[in-house]
Order: sequence, then C-alpha cells, then structure tokens
Amino acid sequence: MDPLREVLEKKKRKLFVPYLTFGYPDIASFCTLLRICEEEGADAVEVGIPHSDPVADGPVIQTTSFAALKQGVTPPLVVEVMAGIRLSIPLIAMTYGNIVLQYGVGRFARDFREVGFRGLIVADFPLEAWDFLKEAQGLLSRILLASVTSPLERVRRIAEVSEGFVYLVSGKGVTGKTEVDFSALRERVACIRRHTSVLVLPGFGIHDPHQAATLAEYTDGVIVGSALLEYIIRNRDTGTWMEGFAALVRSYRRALDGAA
Amino acid sequence: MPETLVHPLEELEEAYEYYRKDPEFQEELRLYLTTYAGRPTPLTYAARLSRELGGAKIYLKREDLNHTGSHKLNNTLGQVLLAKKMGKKRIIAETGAGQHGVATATACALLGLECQVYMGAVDVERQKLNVFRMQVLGAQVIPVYSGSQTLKDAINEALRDWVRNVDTTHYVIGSVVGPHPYPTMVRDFQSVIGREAKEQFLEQEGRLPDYVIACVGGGSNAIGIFSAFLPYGDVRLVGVEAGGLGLDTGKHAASIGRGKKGVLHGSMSLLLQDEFGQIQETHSIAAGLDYPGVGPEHAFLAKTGRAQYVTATDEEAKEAFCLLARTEGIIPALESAHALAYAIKIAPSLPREATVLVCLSGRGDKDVEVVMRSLAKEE
Repeated sequence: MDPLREVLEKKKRKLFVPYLTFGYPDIASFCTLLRICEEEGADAVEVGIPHSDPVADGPVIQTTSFAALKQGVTPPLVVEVMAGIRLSIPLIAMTYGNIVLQYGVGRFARDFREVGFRGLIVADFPLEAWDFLKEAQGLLSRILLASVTSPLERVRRIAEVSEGFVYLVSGKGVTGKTEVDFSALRERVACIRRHTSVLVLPGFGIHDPHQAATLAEYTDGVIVGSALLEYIIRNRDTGTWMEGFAALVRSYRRALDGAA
Repeated sequence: MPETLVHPLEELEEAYEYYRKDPEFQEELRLYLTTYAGRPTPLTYAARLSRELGGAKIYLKREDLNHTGSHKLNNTLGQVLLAKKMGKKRIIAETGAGQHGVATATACALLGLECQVYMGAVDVERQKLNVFRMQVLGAQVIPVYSGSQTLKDAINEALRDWVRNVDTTHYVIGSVVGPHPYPTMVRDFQSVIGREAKEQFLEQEGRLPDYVIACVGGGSNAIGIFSAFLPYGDVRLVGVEAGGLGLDTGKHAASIGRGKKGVLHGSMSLLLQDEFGQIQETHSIAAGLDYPGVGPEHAFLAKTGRAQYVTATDEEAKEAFCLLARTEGIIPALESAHALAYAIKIAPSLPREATVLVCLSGRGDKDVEVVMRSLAKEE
C-alpha cells in the first residue's frame, strides 16, 4: 500500500535523498547525474518536474526550473526519457498541483510508477488538498510536508496521513533560502515519533554534510536540493563538474554514515 | 498553498472572522472610508453619453473619485487596519499596474506601517510614475526578475517573502484571488461599492438597474459591485474581461472566456494555461487586467449563469476611453474602459427606459501616456 516506504525501510541506514530538476542543465547531463547519485549512495532521488510558478522554491530551483522549461521539459517528456533508464533506487516526483491535475492524477501515478517513480510530493498541496491525490493511492506514496511553523497537533495529523515519509520543512522560507530552526525541528520530530512510526526527512536549506549529519542524529536522513544544484550552476562551465558533483554526493553519504 | 502558509492563513481567517463582527473595527474602517478616502463615491448619470448612444440610460459608479484614484483603497484600508490589529509591523503587497501598490503604500503611510511592494521588472519599467508614487509614500518597491516578470511573478515573490516573515508581516493581496480567506475578505471590503451603488440607484431611479457591468481581471471591483445585486435575479450582471488583440490571437487575458480549471496561488479557478498546466502569459492594454486567473467566485457565477462574462478588446477599450472623456469630461482607467466598452456596445439596442450601471473602477490619468502612444502609432 505504501510503495516507497517498503523500499526505504529496507535500507537500514540514514537516508540521503538528493533533489535534481529534470532536464537541468540538459537532459543527457541530468541522466548522468541520476546515475552518479545512484552510484554514490543516494537512497532515492527526488526529481523536480518544473512549473512556471514555483512559489515554494528559492532562486536556485527557480533558475533550474525555468531553464528546464525553456528546453521544453513536460511531464510526457519526463516519462519518455525515464522509460529508457533503469535505476536500482526509487524516484520521487516533486512538483506543483496544477501540473499533476492537468496530466490527470491517476494517469500521472500510473505513468510515473511505470518508469521508476514510487513517491509524489506536491509542494502546494497541504493536508487539506489530500483528496485531490486519491487516484495515486497504492501507485505512488503521497508524501506530505510538515513545517517547523505547523502547530504540533497539525504535525501529528500530517504524520498519520503521509505516506513514504514526512518531509519536514526545516525552517521558515523557501527551498535553498531557509535557516534551519533546530529546536523547532527537534520538537516536531519528537512529536511525530510519539505518535507514529513514519520516517522523517528534513529538507529546505540543508547545505553542508556536517549539518546533514547533525540533523540525521534525530531524523531518518536528509533531503538536499538547492546546495547540489547551486554547485552545478556555479561549476558547469568547468570540465570536471561531474566529478565534483560525485564527490559532493559522496561527502553527504559519508557524513550520514558517520552519523549512524 | 505550501504547508508553511497554512497556519498563518488560519490565523488570518480567525482574526478576520473576529474583526468582521467587531463593531469598533467596522466603525474605525467606516471613519477612514468617509473622512479619508472620501466615500461614498457619487453615482453619476452619464446624460450626454446616453444621448449620444441613443438607447439605455447609463449610470457610472465613480470609484475614480475614491482617494488614490481607484477602488483599490477600499480593500487596502481594511486589510492594513486588520494587520495593525493583529500586531503586524510590516506590510507586503504585489502590484501589476501599480494601483494596488499605491493604495497599499497609502494605507501604510496613514496607519504607520512599514511597506514593501513586489512588482514585476517589466511592470516597473512600464509604470514608472506609480513606482515613484509608492516611493514618495514611503514604500520600497522591489522589482521581480523571475518568470515572466509581471503580476503573477510578483505574487509568487510576495508569497515567498511571506513564508519567511510571517510572524511580523501581513500580505495584502489586491484582488479576490489567492488562498482562503483572501477572496472572501477582499470581496467584503469591496462590497461597499455595491451597497452604496444600490442605495444611490434606488434614490435616483426609484428601481434597480437592468444591467450592472464591471471589468474583470482578478475581479475585485466586479465582485464588489455585484455583491449587492446578487439576490435580485432581474438585474443582469456582466463581467468584462480583457480581450486584448482578440481571443483568437492568444494575446488576451480572458481567463473565463478561454481558461481551463486549475490551481494557482492557492485557489482553484479558471486559468490561462497550456495543456501541461504551465501558466501562460497574458496581454491587455490595461495592466490591471493582465492576470492569467480570475477570482473563484467569478468562475462560480459564470458556471451557474448568474453572471455573464464577455470581453472587450484593447481597441474597444481605447474607443470607450476617448468617448467618455469627450462626452462626460471623465477620463476612465483603461481597465474601467473595458466595462464601458460593453455598455456602449449594448446601450443603443436597449429601450430608452432601460438602465445600465457601470462600475467606473478608476481614473485614467495613469493611462494617458499609453493611449497617446497607441493612438500615435495608428496615425
């Protein structure tokens, strides 16, 4: 019933989930980046399906999203490209509500499941919009976000419903531009642990392996997006950026293994 | 809406529900609307225009005479006052043409709150005068360079700011769009237009109008004037969207006319979007109508048929702009000129005893340059 959780719980280690924007910097490089993530020890990869109006995203993911859109990235193209790649780790689609609604929720879930996706995060669909995703049930784990600004009672309700894991927004802000609020985060993790056995992964604003390791001490791992993409934006004119990216992913893996 | 905003929106809803029923708050707002904004605004019988068209009698609800030159102040006074009661120190807003930004900056200057206005970089360039007005009023204007650099992107950026600063900051949305409770709250603050207009119309004509016509971008002035007439089935409500260069050119902002159901900025409504759900860029000569969505209540009124939605092109709006100036000595905002254009279209074929009420949502000083350039191009 929970396709992603099954896979993640078998890992028995702190989870590292990198985020990449589909088609950034270009489709071929993106596919190589996916492979690098798999080889360097990512436990799943979150794949951003770009939207024209990414309200939850900071400047880095806005940049990569608009660049991807300019290249003509669409959900059908994602399915087409991913059909040609088989990975040993699950993929999680991260996008906005209107993209999924226009594709058709059931069709989206079936098509994306078929090409290696096991989870779905809709950045602008909170608990109140849960019903919109009904048709994805059993195909893609519907992952809800909880935030350090969500009251504890609300966090509990989110944790009871969320599939796959709870995506815990680590501070006030948008992706990449958030200062981690350690104490509020800790309080929310404790609340989730008290009431459920669901996995908890913090994300937003996590930008170095040391910080990731600190957070992983009391969570089940971390999600890192903007920090990785920013590395690519800054270095993609150099000849060795792919190696550098691999080293960066490896450094997160090692830090998290040290934390366990 | 992103999870981070759910709780702040609940707090806003709670505060609004409380103050909405608080007689002290309502009295304070009423005082500002009368002694500061200049309400009630007059209802003007456009005698020469009606005669020239040779049909129905056309009346104008004169929101152009509201302080700052448009209906926008009705909402910003209400929201900024509410924010102050909630203990917020800082106000943010988005603006397209700049009218809402100016109205927000004005309310903040009046009530002593810090104000920052997000504005698409393209609009900053197009609306320099309003940028300066906001700055003179003590607000900071922040150009938005992401996306299409217009109104929807300014809303995106304001939402991102709000996520970061939600403890100290209230976000004043300028139309009946966005997440709950905004569409309801903005409608309530704008319903003063309809209440006054209905009373004034009864006083002058002894009955209700046959038509009530208003322009629709997000739709706040339209909802404001419609609200008082909704219960009267005999009163035909007409919303006029921006037809731009024509619906078939793709260069327009007719979200009801050509939009599809979707989700943007926390509400489900009709949106101009491509088949994959990406929001499309819009076009209108009236910057205030240049929004790819429409208030959810308008989508509902369209669906139930209680209101009818039509379009007027840039060309028709310009003609209406000039005709009203010439026959009545009133230069309307290009947005309001869309509503007028439809009135001008139907009035000649209506009987002389028929009446048409047009919401003249703003004055056109801000648009003279645009119209001048556009007329020069044609010659």
